[in-house]
Amino acid sequence: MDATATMTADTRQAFGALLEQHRGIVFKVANTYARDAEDRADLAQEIAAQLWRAWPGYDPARTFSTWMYRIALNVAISFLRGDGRRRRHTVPLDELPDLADGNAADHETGDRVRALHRFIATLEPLNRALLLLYLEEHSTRQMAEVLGISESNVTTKIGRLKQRIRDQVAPTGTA
Amino acid sequence: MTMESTMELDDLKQAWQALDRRLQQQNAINLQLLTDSRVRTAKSGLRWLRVRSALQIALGVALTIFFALFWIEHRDNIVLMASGLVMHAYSVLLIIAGVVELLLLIRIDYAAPVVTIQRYLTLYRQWRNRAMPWLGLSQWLLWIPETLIVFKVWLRADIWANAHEVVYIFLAIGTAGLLGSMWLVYWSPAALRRRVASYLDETNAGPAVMRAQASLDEIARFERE
Repeated sequence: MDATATMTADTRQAFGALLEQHRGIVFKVANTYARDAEDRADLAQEIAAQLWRAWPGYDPARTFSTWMYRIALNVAISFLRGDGRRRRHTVPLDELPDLADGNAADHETGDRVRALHRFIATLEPLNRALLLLYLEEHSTRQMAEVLGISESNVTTKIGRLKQRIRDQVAPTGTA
Repeated sequence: MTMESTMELDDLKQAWQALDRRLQQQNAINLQLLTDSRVRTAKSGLRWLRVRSALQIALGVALTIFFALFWIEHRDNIVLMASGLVMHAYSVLLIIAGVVELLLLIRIDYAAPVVTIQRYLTLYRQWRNRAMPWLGLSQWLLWIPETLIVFKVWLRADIWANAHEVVYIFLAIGTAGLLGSMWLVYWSPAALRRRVASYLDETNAGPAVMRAQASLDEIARFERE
């Protein structure tokens, strides 16, 4: 019998509370890897289901967010790679949330967000994971732990990402 | 800011935070929607693949024993012995394929580091993509020894001894089928070949092999400093 089927109500509640507390991770990963609102909702649900499935094997001695990031990123990358029919790699600008409220600062923020999304869409799935962790201000050690590469490799790759951003990213509509 | 202006990673961090705030307000996705069907789908994915591999190994073992006993019993009949040996070898390949798949699937734990799991998932996909077309194509010829063995075991009839020409016809049909399939995949007109490739892609072959290899290359690049 599957372990999740035998979990007590308390365990379910504990999982539900932790998921609620860290739900931002699910949304951020879904937003980074899914193209439109429908895919985002689908991916978020898929991540939540895999978290629930893996929950009996969670070791409380380890950081919950690291465990959650690993599962969420693994599911998201598989989601991106696994379905040949799924539209991928690009985020249509018309489906981005409207960030501008009318003033100049908001327009500038909107342009930056669009530039960020265009840049994310050009990244390979693993570099996308690295960028997400960096933007979320994780330490080099945490990034290395989630991804399974050395800390020096993380540092090198962040350096390369910075260079790519300098070379490729410029906000549009800001002539 | 001008069109020519560039951005730094920290500028993107500000944009990310702005986007995050807005998405927090807009995300109406309810994570409590852990419906039975969704969880069942998540549970059944890898578990079903593991069960399928285990069944393949069990079937392979049973067939290996059966065909080994058959060819040993018919060592005096070169055609039946060869048929038994071919099917014996095929059964061993079924076991090997099942074990390789099961070993890869057992290692897939989504809570493990991302690079590790993506490599296992890609290796699994690549293995399936490479093995399945050959398993499929080989059936064009394997049905011939299978038929000879079935007739001998259940009907006590030796097709080769009684009607050589029937076996030649079987071989002609099998070879034509094999060549026809290979023509469709490799040598047919481009438009038809694209349609076949698209179909094979859906069924674990063709361009999917190249995609899996590209993913493995990407993972290897990512691991290198």
